[in-house]
Amino acid sequence: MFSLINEVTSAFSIKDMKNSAQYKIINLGGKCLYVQGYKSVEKFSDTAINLKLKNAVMFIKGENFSVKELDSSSIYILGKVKSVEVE
Amino acid sequence: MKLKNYAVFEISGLNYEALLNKLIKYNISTIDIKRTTENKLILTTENKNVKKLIAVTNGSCYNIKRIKNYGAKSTFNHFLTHIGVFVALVVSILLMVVNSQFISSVNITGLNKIEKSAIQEVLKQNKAGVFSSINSINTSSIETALLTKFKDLSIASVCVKGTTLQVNVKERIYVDILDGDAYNLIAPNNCIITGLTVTQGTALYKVGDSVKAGDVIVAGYKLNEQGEQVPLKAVANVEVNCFISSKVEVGNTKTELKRTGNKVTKNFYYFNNKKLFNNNFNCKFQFFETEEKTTSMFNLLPFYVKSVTYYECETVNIPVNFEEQKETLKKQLQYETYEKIAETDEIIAENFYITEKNNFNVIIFTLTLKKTLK
Repeated sequence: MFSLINEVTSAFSIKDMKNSAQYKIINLGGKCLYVQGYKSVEKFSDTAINLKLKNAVMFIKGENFSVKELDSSSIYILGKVKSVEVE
Repeated sequence: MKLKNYAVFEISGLNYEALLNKLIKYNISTIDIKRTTENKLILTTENKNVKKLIAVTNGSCYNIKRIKNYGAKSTFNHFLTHIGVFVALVVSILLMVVNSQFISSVNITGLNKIEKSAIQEVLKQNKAGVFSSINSINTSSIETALLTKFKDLSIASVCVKGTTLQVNVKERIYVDILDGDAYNLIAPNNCIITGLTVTQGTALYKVGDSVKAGDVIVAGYKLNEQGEQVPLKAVANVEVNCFISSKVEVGNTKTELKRTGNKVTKNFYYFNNKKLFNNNFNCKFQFFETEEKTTSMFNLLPFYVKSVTYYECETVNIPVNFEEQKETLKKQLQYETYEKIAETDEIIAENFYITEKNNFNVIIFTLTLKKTLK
């Protein structure tokens, strides 16, 4: 089965990118955000979602956020995504 | 409709981040998570995760309330708790299926003299009527039965439209059959047919055709089933544009007699109106004019002399001024043509045609009349 993330990571040929502990983000037109490899949710509101990563925190800002799907390794966020910062 | 069954929960409280982290920790997958207000969250999870969710939130500062279920099983469970709706739906479907297999109404059109009940009797004999099974109806045999029983029908058509049995019939139009000669509809003048409606008879021309005076437009016969001609009176409404015309030809010259000056006088004697001295005289002039003068010889006796003077003439060609005569000739032609038509005839056009041919000027005046022939 085709996996976009596997395809992209294979193309970069960086060894530790295939490690599932590394976070991965897919932003579709600023309307949908897929994040894989987060640890926990630090903040959840309709304008900001903060996700704790392995060695950093991801700050997602925007409007009308809702979570389409949530499980232990990935989260699908719907809404207007204005910025994604990792610190 | 989703096949999996889901439950929608409304959770009131604070610190939803801790709740979400608990869901992640205990591997409870959820969908459609939305924070509707500051202290209310709505999420959806599969039915299999409901117990886990309740267990996770138990003892925490959350109020959890199930607000909706959906999915195939939920719908089925809903029907089980509302059994009346389910039964009504099943019964409706059954009735619809059953009803579509049977005739619900019979519609008969085209009847004039034949009674409707007579047609219905034939349908009944062929097992076609209200509540008859549609599959058992043989439309062609019903049509044959109708045409066989009713000789007055020329056409019978039977079909099933939906759950309606449609019967269309057409009764015969009887014509006047004559013994002996047929009555044709004849063109009285040269004309063009502009309208043609035949009630009985056989049309030999069509709209737009030109016919001459005396042509038969509608013949007084019809063909029977054996192809033989049956004489009858042609009855039709024929509208035509007729052309009535008059013509005059005027030569470029005309011939007149002119006296040359030569003359011969001969006397004839009569007694009591009887010629005396049988002296026939043949005038030798090729062209001549005569003048007579009678003189009584004796007043009391019926005795007189007739003097006949023969003036020699010659023919002279005199040129004709056509332009001077043209208007007079046109009026004369108009008069002659109008004499040929009836007062009730409708005139739709008048035309003069002037041509020159072989040293003759020809004037033709034509009236176009609109007539209805019956």
